[in-house]
Amino acid sequence: MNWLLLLTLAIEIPLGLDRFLPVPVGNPLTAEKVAKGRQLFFDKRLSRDGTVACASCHDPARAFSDGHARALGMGGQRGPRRTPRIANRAWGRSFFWDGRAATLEQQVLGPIANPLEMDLDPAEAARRVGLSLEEMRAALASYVRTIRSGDSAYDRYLAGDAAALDAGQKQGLDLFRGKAGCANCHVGPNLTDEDFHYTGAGEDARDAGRAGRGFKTPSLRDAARTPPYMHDGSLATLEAVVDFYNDGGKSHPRLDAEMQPLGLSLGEKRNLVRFLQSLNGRIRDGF
Amino acid sequence: MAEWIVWMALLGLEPHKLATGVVSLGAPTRDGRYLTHVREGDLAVRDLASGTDRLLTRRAGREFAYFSVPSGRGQWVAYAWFNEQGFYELRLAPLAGGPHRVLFRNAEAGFVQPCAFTADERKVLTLLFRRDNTSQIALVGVEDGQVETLRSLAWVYPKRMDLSPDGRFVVYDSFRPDSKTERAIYVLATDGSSERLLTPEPGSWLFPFFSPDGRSVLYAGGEADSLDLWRKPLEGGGSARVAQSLGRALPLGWSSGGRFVFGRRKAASDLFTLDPAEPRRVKLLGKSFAGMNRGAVFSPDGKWMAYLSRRGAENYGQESRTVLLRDLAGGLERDLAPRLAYIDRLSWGPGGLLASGSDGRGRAGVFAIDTQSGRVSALLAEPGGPYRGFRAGVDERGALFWLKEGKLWRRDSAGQAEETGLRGSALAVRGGQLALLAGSEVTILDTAKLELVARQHCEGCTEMAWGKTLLGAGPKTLVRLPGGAIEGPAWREGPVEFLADGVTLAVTLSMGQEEIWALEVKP
Repeated sequence: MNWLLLLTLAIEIPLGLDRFLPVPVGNPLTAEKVAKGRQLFFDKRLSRDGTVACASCHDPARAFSDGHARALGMGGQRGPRRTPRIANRAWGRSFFWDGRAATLEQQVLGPIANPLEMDLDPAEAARRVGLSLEEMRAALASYVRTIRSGDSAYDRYLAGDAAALDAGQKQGLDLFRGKAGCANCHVGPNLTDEDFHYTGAGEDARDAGRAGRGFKTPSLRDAARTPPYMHDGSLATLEAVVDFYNDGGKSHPRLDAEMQPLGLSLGEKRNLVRFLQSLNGRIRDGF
Repeated sequence: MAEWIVWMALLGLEPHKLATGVVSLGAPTRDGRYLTHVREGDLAVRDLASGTDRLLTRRAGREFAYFSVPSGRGQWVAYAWFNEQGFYELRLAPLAGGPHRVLFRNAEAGFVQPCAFTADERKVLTLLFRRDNTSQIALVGVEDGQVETLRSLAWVYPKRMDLSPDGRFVVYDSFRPDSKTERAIYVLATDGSSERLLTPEPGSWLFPFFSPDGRSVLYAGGEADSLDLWRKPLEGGGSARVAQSLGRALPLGWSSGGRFVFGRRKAASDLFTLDPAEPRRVKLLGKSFAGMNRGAVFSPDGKWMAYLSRRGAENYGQESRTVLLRDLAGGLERDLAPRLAYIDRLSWGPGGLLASGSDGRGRAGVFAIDTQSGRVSALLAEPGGPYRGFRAGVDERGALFWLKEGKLWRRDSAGQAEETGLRGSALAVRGGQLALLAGSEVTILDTAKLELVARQHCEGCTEMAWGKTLLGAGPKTLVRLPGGAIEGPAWREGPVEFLADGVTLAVTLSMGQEEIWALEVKP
C-alpha cells in the first residue's frame, strides 16, 4: 500500500464528518509536511516585524479564532473583517469571507502578504524559514487541512443517540430546520452551503464581500466558542445573532430573499441558542 | 401497478426476456437464479426459471418494502422498509427465508437505498438521505449496523451507486462540476483517500455499475427516449458503447455468465376526461401528449391547462417533471421548465399557478410559477421538509393553507403564520372555502374564520376537487372512481380536477407494462 495513502488513513475523522478528506493531487498529505506546517503556523518570523504568526489570530485555544470583532494584525492594525474559524476547511470549496481563494494552497499565503495582517512578502517569509515558497505553501495548507472538528452532541444525535440533545436543544434543532430557516444556508456536515449571501449584516456598507453575491456562509461548528459573529464581528453574542435573524436582517439592496422576520418567541430564541451550543465538537489537528 | 419485464439484450442480437410482473426496485442474484423485487408492497424473490414469487415480508398498515439488493453469494438480501413511523429503515433478510434484522433505523436519515454488498457480505453500500436533504454515501455494517459515512453530497442524491468487487471503490452518479442538470460518473475510494471524475466528456451519464472483474464501469447515457449503455476502464482508456437504444432503461445489476440486467419501462400515463354520469368511458383530454403526463389543472377562466410531464428516456428517481401549459382553445403548448427539483402536484389559485415540491436548494414547500416566464418563487419553502412539498391552496384573500405532518397551517396575506389545530391528509381551496379530508370525513370550512360550512362522510376518499355548485343539493357523491382499472388495463392515479364546466373530471390514467431485459456484455 502506498505510504502516502497510509498517512491519509491515519487521520482520524471525527463523528459527523466524511471519511473522504479532499486532498489535492499536487499536495498529498505527509507527516513531514503537516509537522512542518504546524511549526510554520506558530512561527512569528512569517510577519515583517516578527510579532505575528498565523496562530496569533487562529488560536487553537479559541477554536482557531481570536475573539476579536476584526482581525488584529501586525502593529495592532485592524482588518476589515473577523478572523474566520478554520476547522474542517479541508471540505471547503472557497476561502476567505469573499471566497477569493479557490484552494487552501491559494489561501494560506494571503494573510502573510496582507499589509494589515503579517505584511511580509511570502518569498521573504519562505527564505526566513529556510524553505522554498512552494514548500512553505504546501506545508501550511497541509497542516490547516488536518484541523478538524466533530463528535459534537449534534453529531451524536444525528448518529442515533436520542439523548445527546436535551428537549430544548431538540426544539432548537426543529426551529433551525423549520421556522427559523437557518438550514436554508447552514446545511450539511459542516453546516454551511459554502455559498454567498447578503443578510444585511455588517456595519461598513463599503465592504460588499464577494462582488454582487455577499459573504460566505460560515460553518456553525464551534460557533458558541468563538464570539463575536458575522463577517465583521458586529454581533457580540449568539443571542444577538438570533435577534438579528428574527428581525429579518437589515436592509440591503441585495438582501437575500430568505431574510424575513421570523416571529420567534423568547423561548424559541433561547432554544435555538441552546441548539447552536450543541455544535461544539472535539477539535484536533495533525495526525 | 405497471410491471417490469426482465430482458436480456445480446450484443448485436435481440434482447432476451427474463421475467414479467416485477417492479424494478431490486436486483438479480449473481447466479442468475433469482430477482428481488417488490410485489404489492412486499419484498419478493422471483425464481427466474419457474417465474414464481416467494414473499419475504408481510406488510401491514402503511408499511411497505422498497429498494433491495441481494448479496453476491446470494445468502442475504438488504432492503429498505417503510415503517409505521413514516420513515425507511434498512433491513436484512436471508434470501432463502428466515428472521429479518434491522440494520439501520434512524429518523434523521429517513430514506435508505441499499446498493451493493461487500464481497465478504459484512457491509452494505447504502445511500442515506438526511432530514436536511444531505445525501450520503455510506457503508453499513451487517453485524452491528455501524455507519461509515464516506461522502456527503448536496441534496441531489446519486441515482445509482455500486461497489467494486475488491471493495476499494464506489462509483456513483451526480451532477457534473459545471452543471446543475447533467450528471457524471465519479469514482470514490472507500478508504477516503481520493475521488475522481470518470466521465469528464460532455453528456449526462448515470447508473454506473462495475464489471464483474472490477476493471471497468458500465453506465448509461443517451438522448430522447432511449438510453445507450457504455463501458469505460476504471484505470485509463476511452469509453465504448456497449449497447444502443435500450429504451427507457434502468440498469439493475449482473446475472450469471456476464449478463447485465436492466429494466425497460414501457408504461405510460396520460390525461383523460371522465363524465361522472359514465365513469368508465374516458376520452383523451385534447390532442395527444408526449411523454408521461399527469395531474392537469385548469385556470379559473377556463382558458389554460397546466400539467406535469416526464420527457426523455431517463425517468427514475429525483429528476424533475416539467410543467406544460396548453392553450385549450388553440391547442398550442409551452414548456414552462420551472427550475424545481421535484414537482408533486399543481394547483391554480387566484394568484396563478402553484406547485408543491422541492427546489434546487433542497427546500420543500409551495412555489408559484409565472406562466409567462416559468420563473419560480417560493411561497413557502422549508429545509428538511418532505421532498414532495406540502399540499396547499390559496384562498380569495391570498391566505395560504397547507398541510404539514397532517396539521393544517395558515398564513395570512400579511405573512402571519399559525397552526390552526385542524388535521387532515388532503385539502382543496376555492374562493373563500376550504375542503379538508381527515380520515373518512370531508369538512368544508370558510377560510376567513375556519368555521364549519358542511361535512360529509366519504369512505375511502383520497382526493378532492372543487366542481360546480349544485343548487339545492347538499354534499353528495358525484362519482366513485374505482381503485382498479377504469378502461382496459389503465389505472387511475394522482389528483383529479374538474374542467371549467365544473362537471367533467380530468383524471390521470396509467397503462401498459414495464419490461426487464438483460444484456450479454463481452469482457
